[in-house]
Amino acid sequence: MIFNSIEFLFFLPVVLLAVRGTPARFRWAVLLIASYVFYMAWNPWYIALIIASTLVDYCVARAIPNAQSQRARRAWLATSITVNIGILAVFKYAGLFTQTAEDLATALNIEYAAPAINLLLPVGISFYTFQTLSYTIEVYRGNQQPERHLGRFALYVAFFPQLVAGPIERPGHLIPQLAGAFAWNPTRAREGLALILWGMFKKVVIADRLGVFVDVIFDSPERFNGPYAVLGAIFFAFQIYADFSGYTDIAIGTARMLGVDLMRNFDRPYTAQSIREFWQRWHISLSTWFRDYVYISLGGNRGSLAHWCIAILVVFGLSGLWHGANWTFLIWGLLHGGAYLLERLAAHISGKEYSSASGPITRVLRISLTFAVVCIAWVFFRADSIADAYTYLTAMTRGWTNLQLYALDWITAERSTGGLGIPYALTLIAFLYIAETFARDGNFPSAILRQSTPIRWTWYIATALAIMNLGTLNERPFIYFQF
Amino acid sequence: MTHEAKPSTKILCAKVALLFAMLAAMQWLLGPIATSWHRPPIVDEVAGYQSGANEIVYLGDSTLVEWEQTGDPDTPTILDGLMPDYRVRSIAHAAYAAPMYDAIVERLLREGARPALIIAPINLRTFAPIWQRDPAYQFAKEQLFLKHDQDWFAASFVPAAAFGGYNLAPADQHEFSRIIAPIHQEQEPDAKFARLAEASFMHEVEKDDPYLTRYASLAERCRDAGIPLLLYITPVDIDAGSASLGQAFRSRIFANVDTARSVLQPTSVNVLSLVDLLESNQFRKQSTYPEDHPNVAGRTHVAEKLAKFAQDLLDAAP
Repeated sequence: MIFNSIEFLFFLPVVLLAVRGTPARFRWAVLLIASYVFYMAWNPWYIALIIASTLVDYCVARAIPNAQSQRARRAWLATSITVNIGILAVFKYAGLFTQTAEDLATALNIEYAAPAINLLLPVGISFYTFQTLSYTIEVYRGNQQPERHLGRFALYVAFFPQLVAGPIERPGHLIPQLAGAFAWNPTRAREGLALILWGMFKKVVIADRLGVFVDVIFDSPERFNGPYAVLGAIFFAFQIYADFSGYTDIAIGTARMLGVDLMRNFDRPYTAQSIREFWQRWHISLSTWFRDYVYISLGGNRGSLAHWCIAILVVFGLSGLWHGANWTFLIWGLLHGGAYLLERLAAHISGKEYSSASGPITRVLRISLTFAVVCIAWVFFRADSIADAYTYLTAMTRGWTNLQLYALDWITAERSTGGLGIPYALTLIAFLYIAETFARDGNFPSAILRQSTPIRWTWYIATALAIMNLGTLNERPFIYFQF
Repeated sequence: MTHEAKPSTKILCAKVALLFAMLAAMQWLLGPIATSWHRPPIVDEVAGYQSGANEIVYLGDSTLVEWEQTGDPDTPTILDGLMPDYRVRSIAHAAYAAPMYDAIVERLLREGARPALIIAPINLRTFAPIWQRDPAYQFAKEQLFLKHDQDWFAASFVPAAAFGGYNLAPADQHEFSRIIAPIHQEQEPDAKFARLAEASFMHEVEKDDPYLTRYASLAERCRDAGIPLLLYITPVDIDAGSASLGQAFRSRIFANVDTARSVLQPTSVNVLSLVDLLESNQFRKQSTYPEDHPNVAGRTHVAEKLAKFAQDLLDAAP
């Protein structure tokens, strides 16, 4: 089930009523059933993977504190990592590895036909495996007591608001809340509703609209000249932000209505003045996961400069591959890693933080430069192959003197947006950027809730009407569902 | 965070209910405007269509059209010239097929149109997966708009579609690519011709084929409305197909014609088979698959056959 579906519009009120109508000590069970139903609406069979991951990590975490030696503790942790990464490897990466092996064999003139692997990628697999892994690692490190209640632990793994696209929660933050009563609070419910409304607006009105243009230009970049290719990359930057942060807002709002606080996942990433700052603002739950469990495990900044550089590139490379089974994601991650290293090395040499306080013009220039690097990296993220990304980047460099060249497909895309076209898309982007940049903490719904009743109600109605009437005709799944 | 006093659950529910009521009222007013941005042209063409007593509605696909840009007339225009007592009005698109014909006629009848005769082609190629699974040939939105002209539809279409309430893309591009990719990858001309011939015409039409079912529905609809319907099976270059695939091609074509006729027989509709009417030189010059697009000579021949058959039907009509 996806948030922008009619099913979810009925599902959520039913779950809220069911939770309220159930005695506090059984509410976890209602939510666990609801979470499994939510997932099984997509594919009933793949719930088995979530249950398997849950059972393994529940048992492993119970066994770790009782292990007699450090070696045994490590063995239990390795079991958890092997099972979870194994599930990921089989269902997500097997096709990539076999295809790469075949390509390599072909390049070396070796006859080898890779076995065809046509497994359906389980929705949200990268999110829930990382969430459950963080639990066993924290138990191993002694930061988390093993959860005795299997049902509550199962709910930690499968809690439906964040099951398929995060935020990737930490056990210390989420499990205590799931052990609570899921108490109804009208004030929090209202905050949750406002977040859901804003998230739906970002997804349905902004992301899906931009997606119409992005699909057209990324499907055949060779037919476009520089200005349109650049515009396409910028549109994708805002499409993926509106899509993913919109999903996160709905997830946080839904959880808040259920009495649960989820962690913040975005903080106005396109106001970042450096790549380092970008990763402090973009997909925060993933970047902190890699920092805590991979970067630190690799030694962090405790070794030599070369060791640190390698650790950074490994973390960014893995973070890229986490997104998808395609080498384009690896390059996307490495581009960010390379830019990050350049910034840090420059700061190290000059003795000054790249993004330290400065005048407004310098800030704008730094934001623009960071955004340009991020957009170039997004081309690899969005392209189907490295060759396609190269074609796209080439398109970005040509035809700047012939702005009249107007690809037919782009006109078609504009028609499909009701004739509103590029100015409309740019207006949406400007509105999103300004609304979130100037709201306190970037929380636009929260800023609205502080306004007077007429302003609030005008916003509620205008936003809801926009969602209902300015969306694209086909329900488009959230981009991050594929990861 | 809140501007006002802490709301109670009852007040919150009341406010949400009030908000929904206001939204519903405003959507009733604004929804039709948003829906009108998405209305396909065919709906305006058909809505409000008033046919006179001497009008023939000719539904059709690419087999009616002049493809070689010679300026020669299409089949409905030729037929119009052959039937001076009637006005032939064409409602056609290169990729229309049975589902669209049925949807158009359903809407025409609902609009009160009562033409003297309706003509529609049965193109054997439209029964093949290469046609039925093509995302560009679905016309799901067109059929939806033709079916619904109610106020509630106009008010709710856009939000319902945006939230997945309608399946406007019933055919999957990836699935279609799996069908079409091996054909496109074929480089050798004769092999490619054979693959396209096979994919287009060698599919065995089942009695419960969804398009055949829609033809039966169309026939029953016209019968119930008392309007004569003339269905004709469009010509195929059987010689070219047989040269590539052997006698099996001819056998499959005629077996499929028999299936179509047997399914439609209970509806008492008039099915005219023109499948082997034309010679190879009466099709457009094209060599990638056995042709079913007649040139002007072929279209004239088809129109003459249709004119004679149509006149008999009209003369026999009460």
